[in-house]
Amino acid sequence: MNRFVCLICSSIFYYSCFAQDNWLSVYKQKYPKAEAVMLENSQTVKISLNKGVPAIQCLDSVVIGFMTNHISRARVYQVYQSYISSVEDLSAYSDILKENKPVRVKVERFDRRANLDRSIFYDDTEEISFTFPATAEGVKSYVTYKQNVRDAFFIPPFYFGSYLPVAKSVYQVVLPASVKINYRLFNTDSTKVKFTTTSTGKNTIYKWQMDEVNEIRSEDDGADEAFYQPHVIVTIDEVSGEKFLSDYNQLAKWCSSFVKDLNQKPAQELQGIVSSVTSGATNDIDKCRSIYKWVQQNINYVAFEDSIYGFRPREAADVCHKRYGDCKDMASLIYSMCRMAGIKAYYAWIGTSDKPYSHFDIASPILYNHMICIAEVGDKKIVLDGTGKFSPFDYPTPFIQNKEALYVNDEGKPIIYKLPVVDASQNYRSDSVSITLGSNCSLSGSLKSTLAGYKKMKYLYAVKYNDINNIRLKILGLGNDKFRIDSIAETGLDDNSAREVIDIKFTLDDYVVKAGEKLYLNLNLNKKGHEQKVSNPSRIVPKVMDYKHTDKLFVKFKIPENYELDYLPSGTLYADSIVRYSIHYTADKEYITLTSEIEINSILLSKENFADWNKALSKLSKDVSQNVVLRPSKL
Amino acid sequence: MRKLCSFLIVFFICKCSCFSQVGEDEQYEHFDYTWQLAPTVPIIPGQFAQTDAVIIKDYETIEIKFGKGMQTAKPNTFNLIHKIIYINTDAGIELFNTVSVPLDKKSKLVSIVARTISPEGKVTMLNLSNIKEVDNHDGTMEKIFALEGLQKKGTLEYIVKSYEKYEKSYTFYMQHRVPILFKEIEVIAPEYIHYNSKNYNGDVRTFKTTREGIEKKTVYKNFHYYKTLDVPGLPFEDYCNYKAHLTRLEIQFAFNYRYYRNDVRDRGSNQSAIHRFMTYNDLAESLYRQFYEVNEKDQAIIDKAISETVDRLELKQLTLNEQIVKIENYIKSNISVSDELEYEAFSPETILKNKIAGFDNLIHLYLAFFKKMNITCQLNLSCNKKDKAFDQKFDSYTYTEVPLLYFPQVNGYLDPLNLILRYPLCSSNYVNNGVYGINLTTSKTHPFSDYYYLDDIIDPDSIQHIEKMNAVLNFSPEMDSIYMHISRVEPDYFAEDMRETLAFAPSAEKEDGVRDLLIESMKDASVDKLVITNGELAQAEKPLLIEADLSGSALIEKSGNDILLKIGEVIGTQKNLYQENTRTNPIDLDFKHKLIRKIELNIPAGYKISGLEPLNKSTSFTHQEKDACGFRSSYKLEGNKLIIDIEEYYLQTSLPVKVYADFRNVINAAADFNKIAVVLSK
Repeated sequence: MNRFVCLICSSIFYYSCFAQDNWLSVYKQKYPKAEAVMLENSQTVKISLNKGVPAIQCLDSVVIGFMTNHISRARVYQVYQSYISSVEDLSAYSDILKENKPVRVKVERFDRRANLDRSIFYDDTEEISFTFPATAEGVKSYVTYKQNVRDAFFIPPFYFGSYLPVAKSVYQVVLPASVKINYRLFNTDSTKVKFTTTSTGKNTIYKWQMDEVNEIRSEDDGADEAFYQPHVIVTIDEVSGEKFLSDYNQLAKWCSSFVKDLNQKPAQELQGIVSSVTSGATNDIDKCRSIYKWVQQNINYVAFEDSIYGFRPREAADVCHKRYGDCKDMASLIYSMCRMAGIKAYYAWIGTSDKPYSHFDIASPILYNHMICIAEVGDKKIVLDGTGKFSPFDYPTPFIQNKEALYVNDEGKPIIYKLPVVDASQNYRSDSVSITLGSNCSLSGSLKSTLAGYKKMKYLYAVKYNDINNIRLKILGLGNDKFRIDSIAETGLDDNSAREVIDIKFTLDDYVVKAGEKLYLNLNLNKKGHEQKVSNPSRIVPKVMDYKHTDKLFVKFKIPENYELDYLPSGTLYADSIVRYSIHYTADKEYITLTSEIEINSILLSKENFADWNKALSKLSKDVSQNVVLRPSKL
Repeated sequence: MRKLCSFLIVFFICKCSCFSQVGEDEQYEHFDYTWQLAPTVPIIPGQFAQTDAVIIKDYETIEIKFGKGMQTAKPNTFNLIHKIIYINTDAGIELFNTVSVPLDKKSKLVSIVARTISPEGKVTMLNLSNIKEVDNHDGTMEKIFALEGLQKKGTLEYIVKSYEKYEKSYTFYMQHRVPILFKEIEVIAPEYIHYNSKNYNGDVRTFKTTREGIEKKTVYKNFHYYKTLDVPGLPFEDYCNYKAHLTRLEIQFAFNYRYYRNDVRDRGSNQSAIHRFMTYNDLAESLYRQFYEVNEKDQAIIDKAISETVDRLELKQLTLNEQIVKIENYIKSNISVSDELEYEAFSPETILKNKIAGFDNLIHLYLAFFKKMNITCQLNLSCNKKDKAFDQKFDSYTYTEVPLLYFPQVNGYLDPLNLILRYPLCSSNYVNNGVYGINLTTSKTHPFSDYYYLDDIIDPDSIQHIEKMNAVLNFSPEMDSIYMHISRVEPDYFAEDMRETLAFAPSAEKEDGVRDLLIESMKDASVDKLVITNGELAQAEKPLLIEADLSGSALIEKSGNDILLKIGEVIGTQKNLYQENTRTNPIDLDFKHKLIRKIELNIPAGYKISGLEPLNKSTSFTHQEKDACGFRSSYKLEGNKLIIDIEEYYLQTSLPVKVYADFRNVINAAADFNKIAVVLSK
């Protein structure tokens, strides 16, 4: 290379590094609290045909502009690879100025570690992490890498946003003429996404660009980012005129390929268990109930997300033998047991509450992160999710309510079944309390607490895995944390589907307020279950509510001798589409009673609901803050 | 196997590996160890019948073989773990149904076998193909598996055999949260090798036998046994460094009756062959060589590399304390620490250019700066008091896991790996624990002799750790909400988490930690105005100052024309010890501290206030004739103002069980205060 060329190259390098397009001043002003900005976030998906089979390679490129000299989380970058996609040609560097000369400082060390979390016992996903070197205000750091995607069904979704503000986000799909794609944008304002298609020789390029994307902000009880972050999902529609993944019919075929050879061998041990478990059942629903109960009691959730077994369930006999499995394994076991009992059962693929998608939006394996069994008994569909260790029978687990499951029936027809949302009236806690005033203004009395549906399920998870006495106090205690259990009797602990009935004799100190001669008593004794308002006024992240539910409370307070009623709050009613409540007081010479019922009718609040939600909760908060007042009796 | 912190790995590799590899095919005592062919159903003592699980047997052996060579990186111990656990409940299954076997890269797994026995006696063997390997890519890996066929009222059993790298110190926890019926550690070594051991928090039967080895008739072996029987599970309790209170055994390689130490021999000593190995002096010698011995050529390179930064920081005109603070701030603000960057040669030029350093090189960098400024800085080592209390009377390398830097001229510590705290504070995990330090003064005159000291890391009296809160409350004109102006002073440890969030959270979430603290005073509050002062990491030696305006209605309850103001909630939710469980563990607090709060309520015109008596509270106690803990609150009415002063203090951080009732009273006094409501009526 001659000196002239060197000089030009050097100048270009210099310009690219340090003639900063004013990005630093622009973004420091725009994002004054940010340590860095992602100047470019781009991915190019190349679809090619290898002997007629589509092959996928993704080229990722990120440029981070640092806006501080100090250490920050933006210095550390992570890339992930797994059985589905392997990373290669990973390169990262920073361009800096040293003694007024441009210098490129490369990342020399990429640290790899298993990406394990508590919920998955073994996962073959690997995290590759590194630290950008020599970062300082005005320095740009770069990372590029390739992802080889194992299966063309798994084109990864592209998110325009990131953990940093993004200046420019570009997603391109390059495909040959013989390939057609489907795509769907989520959470985008169409005016903000520039979409173009161009043809270059044999290829067509689809390009989506979005500029100035705000950083991701996490929130309490926040929904997965798929619910609110702008992103695009691309699937291959056709290859050489043949349908590839044009709709859920192809998706069903692809899913079925993982189970077509499954559970074909005889399994005598399992057959024996099924015969034993269902021996007393008089109909198919009872058989399903017995099988589900056996699986809940005997199979433990341990997940090995290992290569193809991240997608393929294991043999039912194997799962039964091991007594553990992941969701797929449990689906396989329940399927087999039901079939052995003569029940039409199906493997079903589903997305949990982390997935906002419908099969009618786009067909892609992205829709799924869970697997269940669906049994058909007559016209009834019974959802059997083996991971719900304490779920009542015939309830979906809470996190798959309202989600679409896909299964292929015995006629080979793909069925999309939308799971129900369990009504608030079925998930309840009902407390009946009788109290009297004791010495030093302490209260004592009895509580009969009845739990049903998901309320019962949640209670069982707590008491089965925690110190049982303290956790009961935390869940069942009324008034304040000086609630003391003097005696307790409980029924229903060993039956997930039965109502839990807990009878408690209790004492409660420091709850009644004495001021002068008057006593103040708030009969709304159970405020712990009340929902929280959305505190961030600019929140866009939907709020996950788990399940609809009802809290009922009946309190009967015996007016102490030498006291009489001074003030009785008036009752109230409220109802909107999400919150409904009623509070009613009565009094006679002997007793004061409160009857209240609060119903929450949503499992996911979107930002459009937040104002009404806060308004309802503010009103509820005021309405349950009403005190009964007693004064000494007039002689 | 217990691992020492990577900080010391370099040391251990370089340090006298005075043993050679023994052929793996040689017979070890327990190489053919196996379980009972026909497992028996365990008998669970009545007192343990209701626990989630019971450890029937927990047997570990370590057999060490030494050769004549002096250097080897290969494993030379044979380790065996045999566990039998009875499962009683779902929680027991959850606790024990998966197993992770950590292995060093230099380890070699010999075998894993595992089985479960159902209540009916059916045996299910682990399918070995279901054992997975997790490579942590940091020199360690794990073999993980799930027990197959595990059921309630059943038993699990597994045996792991491996060749391991020889460790000089071992820590064994002899207690668990569930009961242990039998636990035995067996260390088998040549007869000329002896160990020191010490047990804590309970009895460990210790005995030794000597007998002829199996494989060589001429070689005798020492069998060191450490055994516990019927150890009850230790319950988790609040205000307790749980792990530090488990029954524990420390074992330290101590004597080699066969060999002279090299250095002793080199110095022509005529000392007897009985000579302590792996002493704290040895450690000091090694650390000194690793961190302080720099040849002139390298020193010149280092000086040149850091001199520009030293000049830029304008250190020379500062006081000693200011120099330490500025150097610390510079390094903590600019140099990213990567725990993966080990074993690389120290190059200050590269670190300062790339702004990345591993643990070891970060220490080198600090020392280089301090040396350049002629500041005496002694490398100290300690351990996390939540894991174990440093025992100055038993020298074990397991106490020397965490590096700290000590400045004898000003008697202060710098915690190099804690990005948030600043000199003279080190993490509260080390305060009031022991510390091992290199005695630089002695070293200059007597190399490697009496080359260390032991001390306690005393929380300096100059630092009071006082959190202050001042809240002024006004009612809205409609009397349905409260406007609260709140001022908070959050020094040192109190501000640690908030500073971390301010520094490293995404920009939109930086203030979340502060906001979370503020709304503790009024649960539904909206933060209308917020000013944070001294929030930068570089200002971490100053208290974090928070000024905020809040509004909300959560403190108000109504009863006709009367208004209940839940004024006790202004101090935030308090932990309580209301449950009358029998206390098992002593009381531990992270650091001594005081909480001083003042609440002012402007009583609206026309209202009178009542129900004030409970605001006067006072409870306190002393221990060993010194103030220990207390809670005092009092009120006064000045015109239309209700003024409440609250002081809560914890001046001793370790208290015995016998004062638990007093301690509980103090904790509960604060929790009781939290429930106080006053009444405003016309």
